[in-house]
Amino acid sequence: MQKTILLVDDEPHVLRILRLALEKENYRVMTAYNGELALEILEEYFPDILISDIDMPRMNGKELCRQIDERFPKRNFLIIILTSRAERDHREWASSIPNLEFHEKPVSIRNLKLTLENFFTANTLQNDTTADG
Amino acid sequence: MTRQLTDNSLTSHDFHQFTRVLSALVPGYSGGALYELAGDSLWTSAGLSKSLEDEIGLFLAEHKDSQASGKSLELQSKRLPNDTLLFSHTLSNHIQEAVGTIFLLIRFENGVDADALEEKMAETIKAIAAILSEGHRLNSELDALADELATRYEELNLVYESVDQADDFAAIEQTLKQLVKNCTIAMDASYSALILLDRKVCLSHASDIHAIDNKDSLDKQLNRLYALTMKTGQSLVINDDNDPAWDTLGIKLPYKLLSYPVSDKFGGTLGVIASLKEKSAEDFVNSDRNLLMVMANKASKIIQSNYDFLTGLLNLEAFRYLLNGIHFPPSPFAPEAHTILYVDIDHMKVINETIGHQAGDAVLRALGNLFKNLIRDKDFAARMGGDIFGLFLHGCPSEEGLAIARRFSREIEQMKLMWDGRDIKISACMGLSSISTESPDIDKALDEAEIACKAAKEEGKSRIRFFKFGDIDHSMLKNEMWWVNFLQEAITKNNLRLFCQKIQPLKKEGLLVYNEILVRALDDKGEITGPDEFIPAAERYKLMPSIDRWVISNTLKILEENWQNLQPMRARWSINISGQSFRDENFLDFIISSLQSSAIPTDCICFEITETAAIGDLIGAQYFITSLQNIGCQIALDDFGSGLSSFTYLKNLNIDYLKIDGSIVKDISESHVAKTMVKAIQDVAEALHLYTVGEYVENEAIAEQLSLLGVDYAQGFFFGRPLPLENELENILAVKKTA
Repeated sequence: MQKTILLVDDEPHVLRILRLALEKENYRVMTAYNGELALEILEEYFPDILISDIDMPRMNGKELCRQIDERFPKRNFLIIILTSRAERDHREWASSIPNLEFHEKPVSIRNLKLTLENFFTANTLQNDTTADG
Repeated sequence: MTRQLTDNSLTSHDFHQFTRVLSALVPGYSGGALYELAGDSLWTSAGLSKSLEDEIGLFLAEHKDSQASGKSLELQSKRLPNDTLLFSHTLSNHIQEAVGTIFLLIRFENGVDADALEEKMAETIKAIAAILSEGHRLNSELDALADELATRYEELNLVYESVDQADDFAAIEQTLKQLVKNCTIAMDASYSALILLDRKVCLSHASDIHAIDNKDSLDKQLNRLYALTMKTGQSLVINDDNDPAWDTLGIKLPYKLLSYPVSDKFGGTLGVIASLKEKSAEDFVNSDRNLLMVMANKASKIIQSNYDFLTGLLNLEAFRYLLNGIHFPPSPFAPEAHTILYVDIDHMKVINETIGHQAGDAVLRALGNLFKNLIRDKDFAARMGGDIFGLFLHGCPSEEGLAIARRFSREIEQMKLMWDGRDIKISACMGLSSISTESPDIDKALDEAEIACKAAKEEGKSRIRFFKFGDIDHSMLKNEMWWVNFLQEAITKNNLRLFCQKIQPLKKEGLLVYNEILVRALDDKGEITGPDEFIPAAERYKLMPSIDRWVISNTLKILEENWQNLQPMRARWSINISGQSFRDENFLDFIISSLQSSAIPTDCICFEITETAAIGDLIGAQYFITSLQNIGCQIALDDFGSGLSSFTYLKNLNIDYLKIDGSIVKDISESHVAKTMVKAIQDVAEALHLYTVGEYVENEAIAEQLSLLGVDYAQGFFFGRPLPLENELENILAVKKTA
């Protein structure tokens, strides 16, 4: 089944780059320019993976994660945070959030694709095991 | 299915917005559709009747052939029943290729002149198509930019991820492997390789995606690329099957090829890094070459941190690492033995100080190259530091190792090295040890080779010495330890003996009698032991200053006891000073105070220092010589011609006697070269007002030749063997009495 990815970034070129690359990998891609718009989509639909930038106007990635945690405590999708900031505290806030990964900007599509593949493979295996059990 | 870029660009239009605008502005607009080139619908306006869809399908079918050929149909129109006009217009990309078709339906009211309307609408439809085409072009352009940017990000990430430092030799291979793999990924290549045969590095990586079935054969074929790159030091880009560069390379691979030289920091070529792509893949372009250049530089950095930068040989750590990786088969039926060879260049310090450090570096590089050429595939060579090289000779038991060492030694001596128009003669001492199934301890073998090399060095130049575990040579070390105890006892218990050898004036007039004081040791049975046996041990364990002090004190004492009788003869007494004593900062004070408290006049005493010791520390030597001459002593330079004899420093060292090394003198009656050399030395000595002494004068012929050449003194068995000083004194005094 085609997997859905929700991209959240205020920079159009990043959205375009990621959308093109992920569509080439046959993912269904939805995009949002900030956290608020992402939440609107999430109210309607859960993607398999949410990829979000941190620094965004209106609602940043940090706040988005907090809101997701609050509103959708049973979230099962992976969150991938993209960051161009090297500071430690840009990552530490996320230590309490489960099922979340960091990727550096500029994004390595190759590494991102690997992360997605690994996530889906692990999930499939897990589901298989659950089904068997 | 992967969607095409062009499709994507068309669909990214907001057609709902588009429809609203058309409805508002175009009278009679009643629907539209967008089809991609292949005939699939990308968008259809809501409420488009089935019959109209059929009409569009019919239209597409009619024009399928011309559209498939990419021919632009521009504006078409067709009058349909129900007072409807169907307009179609091709959408084109930036190079005027058709990418899709827009259809618009205009309903006209009864009584309207359809022809006039058709004509009027044509411009509107053209404008709409132009806007859509332009939007499509912009989208395509942005997508291409995004694609390009993603590729650059990828390259950047690969460059960041490719580590260019390896902490130790063990990490090198892993780091380089990852680097080669990253090249394959970054170039989207089928295969990449890093070849530095000289450094024993030959790594390749085949892509998981673009499988190749001939990796081994490629590995071999790329040796041609290595050879060519080593020759030209240039990058190669071959995208075309017919590129003449294949001919230059001498192989033709069914791939596209990109290579870049891996250079050292002096601009020399170390090897090559290369990537191969399938012929159907995209061409290698500049950015690929730049990326490979970055990777080549990283590889170079990794390599050079573990290899000696000057010679390109392994460094000590890497040498040890490789040695530790040697495994011996457990079977006792197939014992294996390898040789470790230490090579220490003779008189390196002299070359550095007299000709210059650049010349010294050139010598080291030349030796590095020589070893690279001499060793076999399974051997390896390292610069252990300074002027010492280490070689591992695979599968060589001791005798074979020794034979190889001799051959290497000859090769070194035959090396022709010119610097500033001067010939630099090179020789080296070598120490060997074995590692074998029975004795696999690497550290021990390294120590033994080093000890053997030091021992060889102490014997003179161009010496080779084997340290063999468990038998004679090992007992030699014990022997030397024994000698240390023995010598320490000999010094404290006065078991050393003074000998004396006459130095004969060859000219009838005006020359004073001259005797050289020598030292011997008494063993526990009271027998006399020669210097060859204990001097190496004394030198190694830094006992020479103690021995020299003993000799000076005791010589002065014995001469003092006989001075009344000796004084009228006005003989000179010459005492050897070893290099170690000469470098001992308290030694000069010791000599001066000993002479000042002695009754022997200082002008009767001459000190001999060897050429090697003197030029090893020219400034120290000048000070030493001047200080002793200031109190009246004389100075002889010993063994002249054995080291890197240079007349230049003779001028700077204000000596009195020049003793020509026996190795030249002994051949003088047979060899024209030896004779010419002695004559040259004699000429210079005369110009500098030095007395000359020929050593090793074993027969009359030699003595005669020396005399003819104008040499002042001769010393050797022909004139007398060394005798105990007391006996010699008795002889001298007896002769005097008889006279």
